[in-house]
Order: sequence, then C-alpha cells, then structure tokens
Amino acid sequence: METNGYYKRIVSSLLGQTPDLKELGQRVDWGGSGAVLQMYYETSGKDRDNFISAIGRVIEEEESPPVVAQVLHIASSLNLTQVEPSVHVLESKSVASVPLVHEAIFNFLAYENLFSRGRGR
Amino acid sequence: MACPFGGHPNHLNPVSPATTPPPPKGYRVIPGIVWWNLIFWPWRQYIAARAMGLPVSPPTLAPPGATGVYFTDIKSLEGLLSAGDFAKRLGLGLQAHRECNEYGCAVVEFDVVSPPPVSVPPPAPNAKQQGLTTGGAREWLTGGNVKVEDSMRVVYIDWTHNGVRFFEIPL
Repeated sequence: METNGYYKRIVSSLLGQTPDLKELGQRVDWGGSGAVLQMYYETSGKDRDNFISAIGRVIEEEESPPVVAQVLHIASSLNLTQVEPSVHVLESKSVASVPLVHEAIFNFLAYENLFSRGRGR
Repeated sequence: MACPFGGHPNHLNPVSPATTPPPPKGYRVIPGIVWWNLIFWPWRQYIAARAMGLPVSPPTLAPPGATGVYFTDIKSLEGLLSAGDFAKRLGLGLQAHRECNEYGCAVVEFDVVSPPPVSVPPPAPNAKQQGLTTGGAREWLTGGNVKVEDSMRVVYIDWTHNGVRFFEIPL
C-alpha cells in the first residue's frame, strides 16, 4: 500500500470511522490506536516504510489534537525515530500549543533523546 | 481452576446496574496488544526518563484525548477465567475481543478518585440497560483520563499450551 492509503487508514481509525469501529460510537477507546498497531505489525519492507511515512504525514498535517496526540504516542511507543523531522515541523504549528499535543511532543523528544544516547548519538 | 478475581469458572454473578457513588476500586480491562505496546512499554520509558530527572508524563489508562476511562467493579469480574471471558463481559468491540483472544488482556486495579466526578455512562449500542455493559458487567466512566501510577495493581490473563494462566505485573 502507498503512503496515501496508509494515511487515510490511520486517520479514519483514530477518528473511529472505519466499518469495524463505527459501531462503537463514542466508545472507540483504544480501538483506533489498536487498529493502527495492527497495521504496523502487518507491514514489512517497502510497506513498512510507507506506513512510517504516513505516520510522519499525520503528525505534520492533521489538525485534530486527539488524533495528533495519539499518533505521537504510537510513534513514541514504537520508537519510530524516522518521524522526528515531522515532530519538529509540528512544533511550529498552532496545534502544538494544545496541552495534550504539547505533552506528547515533549515525551516523544525526551524518549528519542534518551534512547539516542544508547545508540551513541 | 481458580478465577483471577474470585468466583467459580463460568458462574457469573448477575449484578444490578451501576449507580453512583462508584466503588473505591475500579477495574479497567485492556487488550494485550495495546497493553504491552502503548501502556507498559511507555511506562518503562517513563520510569527510565523519570530516573534521569526528565519531566515526562506517564501513559494513561485511556488513549490520549479520551474524555474518561470506562471501568467496572470486582463483583462483575467474578467467575471470569479466560481473556475472552473478560472481553465478552465488558462488552468490548469485535477487534478488541479478538486481540484479547490472541494476546490476552491486562486488568488494571486503580483507586477511583472523585472529583472529577465519576458517572454512569449512557448505554452502549446494543446494551439493554444503562449501567451495564452488553456482557452484563457494571460500568462507570471517570471524569477525565487516568495516569498510570506505581500503586496500581495489574493482573494479566493469557494462555499457554497448558491452558489459561494469570499473573501479576509489577509496575
């Protein structure tokens, strides 16, 4: 699947708009993040690269604070260091000042910094 | 075999719908893939960062941006044995139910703090009554997200070739 396809699937999952999640209404809970995780584990090779690129695009382009915060949490949890440039792009946007997003950005960069020491950066 | 939260396997207590005030201890069921990837590993990251003095935030029991955490009481968990039993009783969605069957689930016991006020949420789609999940467990909703804390107790339920097992995970 191309990056654009993953982008759409990631956003619709986090908004609870996929057929599986729609029936839950307000109770999507971890369902959206769980679906994104499932997507990640189903990919390999070029598809995995496209998936990670899509995560970066969601971080840079989405405006919904819960969606951005959730995708940052997923990226941080999976140690997707490739999206760090996208996090820096996000820092310059107005959504970055929303406390929920601000906290997620801080965590992502703190953990990235913490683990990069182990990688000798 | 003993059940993780008491009772006899597959003998479910019919419980009356949830009312307020809520119980002092809440129980939150989380599918395994979410637990290990999005809560437990971030918790370990948090502990490492905290030890270095970094002012990071711990993970939460509901996803970032959630308005509250759905939870149940211990009475509703009596008689449940497998992770699939827990998913069914709590009325989790199909995908979450599948994840529990495949990877197990975590049950997090936490202190219910009010305020912010805890409420009995509107009934879930297909639920017969407000205050009960589709599987018949009592349910409440916290007034905000809940951060993971060292004091929380976590019981993990999964299975091996020997059958169902459960164990505590120290935080």
